[in-house]
Amino acid sequence: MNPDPVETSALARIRDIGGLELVAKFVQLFDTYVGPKVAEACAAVQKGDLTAVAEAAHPIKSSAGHMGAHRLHGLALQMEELARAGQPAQLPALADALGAAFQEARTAIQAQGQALGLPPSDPRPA
Amino acid sequence: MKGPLIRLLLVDDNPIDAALAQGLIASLSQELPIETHWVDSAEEALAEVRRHAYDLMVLDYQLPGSSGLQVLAETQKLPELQRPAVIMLTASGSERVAVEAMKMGARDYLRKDELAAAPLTRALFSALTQKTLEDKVARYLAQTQEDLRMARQLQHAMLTQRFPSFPASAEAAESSLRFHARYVSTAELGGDFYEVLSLSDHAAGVFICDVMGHGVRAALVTAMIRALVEEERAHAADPEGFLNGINHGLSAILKDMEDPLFATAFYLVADVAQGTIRFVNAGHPQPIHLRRRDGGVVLLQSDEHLFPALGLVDTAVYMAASATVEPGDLLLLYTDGLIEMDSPGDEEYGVDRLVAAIRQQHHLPPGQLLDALLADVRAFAGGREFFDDVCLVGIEVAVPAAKDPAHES
Repeated sequence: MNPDPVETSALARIRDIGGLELVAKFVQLFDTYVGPKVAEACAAVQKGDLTAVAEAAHPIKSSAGHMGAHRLHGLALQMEELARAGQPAQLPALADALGAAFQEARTAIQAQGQALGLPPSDPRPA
Repeated sequence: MKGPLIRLLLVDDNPIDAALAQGLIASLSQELPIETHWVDSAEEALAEVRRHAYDLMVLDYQLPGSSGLQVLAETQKLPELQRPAVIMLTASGSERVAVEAMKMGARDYLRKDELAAAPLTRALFSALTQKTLEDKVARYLAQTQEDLRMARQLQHAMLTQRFPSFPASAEAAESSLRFHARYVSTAELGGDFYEVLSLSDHAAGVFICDVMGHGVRAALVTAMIRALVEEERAHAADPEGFLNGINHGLSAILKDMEDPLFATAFYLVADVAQGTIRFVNAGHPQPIHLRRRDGGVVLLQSDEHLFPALGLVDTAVYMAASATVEPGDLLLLYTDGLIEMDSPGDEEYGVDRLVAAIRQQHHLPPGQLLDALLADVRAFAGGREFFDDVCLVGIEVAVPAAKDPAHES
């Protein structure tokens, strides 16, 4: 497991593809899109709605993967697979870990963005 | 691959995935000038492709409330030239889905976790190349179909629609020779042709032919024969000279063909003043003579005179046979598409059944008789349509009006 919550070269690859503009878009979407999906997944676990868990975890998985947030990616992958398999037992613990992993990744992504040249963003948790 | 702008529809409900795809596509702009439009639902995707023509669609497998495979299935129903080439986006471990998508018509698939410039470029180039080629073929086929449709219309227009009267001043219903024709064409261009020539006030020449095969070359040979009929019109009163002239002309044209082409043909001269017909058969199905006097149905044949089809033997010398005809008689000329229909049990209709059908329904007026014969063959074939063109020409030696007031023309 990578000790860094976010792979340091991921955003640099994004910059190589579409410049700082694309990096800024990714950083913003991580907040405005992935954040609510994490909240959706956790709420679905509390309700016991496995379909909603899988549907929320699915985009978290690919989004985290593109941004080098491997721990977040791995947790979302596990949650999606367990929900689709109808095995809810571990989901509450995974949901807690998912929330924490998201906050860690968010902080790291914003720091990397600034290191690449983006202005500081809102430090409050999503 | 520089050229016109390529229109791409990106269908993905994940804005991060979409932003990455759009960024990668934009980075290829030097090689592929692509204009990308992004939608995030199946409904919007289908509305877009139905409204606008896209060259490409990059389609996420998992969409809210639907699946990319459903969008793919609906897209495949669009007309070919409006249908974009689809590249599926799948999650890792979904190769089964990718294979299913390819079977349904997707050109390629990409894994989202491996989305990068190189595989995307490969997939886009490959899909575009396939689509460009298929669109060319589709346009060519559409143009060819349209050309064939027009050619079929022209072929039908070449067939005599208005028959001469005998004498020329008579109304059709008063003509001493009356003609009835039916032509059933298959979808393709055919090689059946007939012509009625006015030779005098009491004599007509009737020509029928059937060119071997179908399609463009049969149609071209038919057109040649029509031209030769016109060219030999001066000799039309002489069945032998007429058909010899056509055969010679056709043989000269066809002699250098790699594959043999020929046409069966039958030509008769009917003279109501003399009550005779003279006829020459070049390998054609023997016409039928329905004698009103005794209800007899016989084949117009002359065993001493069996001649090759037109175009086969340049040196053939066609010789005529003769027969007598009386008022009320009907001569039926036809092409072999009529008698070669098979029943569901693979039995051929054949000449014997045709003769029997005419004997059964000989009391019908000529036009109705032709229709009844067609219906009989269709019924025999189990309702299937003819697989070869069918041409029926009935030549009625009219009963003078005073003697047959109930005649149908």
